[in-house]
Amino acid sequence: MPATTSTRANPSPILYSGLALVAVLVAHVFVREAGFAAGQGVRLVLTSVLIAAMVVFVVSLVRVARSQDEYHRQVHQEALVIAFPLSLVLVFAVGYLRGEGFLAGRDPRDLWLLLLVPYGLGFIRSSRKYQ
Amino acid sequence: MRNRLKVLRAEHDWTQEELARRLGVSRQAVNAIETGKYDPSLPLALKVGRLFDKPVEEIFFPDLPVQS
Repeated sequence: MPATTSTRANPSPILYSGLALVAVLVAHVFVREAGFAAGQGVRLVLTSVLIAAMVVFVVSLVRVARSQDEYHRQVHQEALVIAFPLSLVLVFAVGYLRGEGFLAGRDPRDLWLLLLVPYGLGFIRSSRKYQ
Repeated sequence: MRNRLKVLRAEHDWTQEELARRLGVSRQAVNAIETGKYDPSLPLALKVGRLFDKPVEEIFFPDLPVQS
């Protein structure tokens, strides 16, 4: 199936991924801040919603990537080439810092948010390369 | 890789958007190819050739070797 000219031609995956990301963020904050006890039914349901929303977000991102033309796919692929090792370093560093007692007050469930940074940096770098 | 895409586009009086639409790619892709920042895939290069009715070799040229 040929790729469409741009994501503007197929906005649904972007819309779904945006909505899913908002759902993930809302559920993420709500699970932590609403005060429900761990293991409580409502909290388990919210956690399930959060995981399901994250799955929808990732699937939508894949659909967005597949709908783009070869140029944009190249930019995203090179962004991933940069992001993956950066993410490894980030997770490695966070793990050891936590092991040494640093970041003790930080919730480990926030780590996934940090992993968006390496991809952002990779995307900026690869975009500039091809502009 | 160098190319004559911008020249050929101008000969047809097409905007980058128009050329992108005809090739089935984004305007950013056309711009990146014209500026030499991005080399098109073989299918896309052949598509360009068919669109302008020219052999690929008359549109895309390898970069000049660096003199040592």
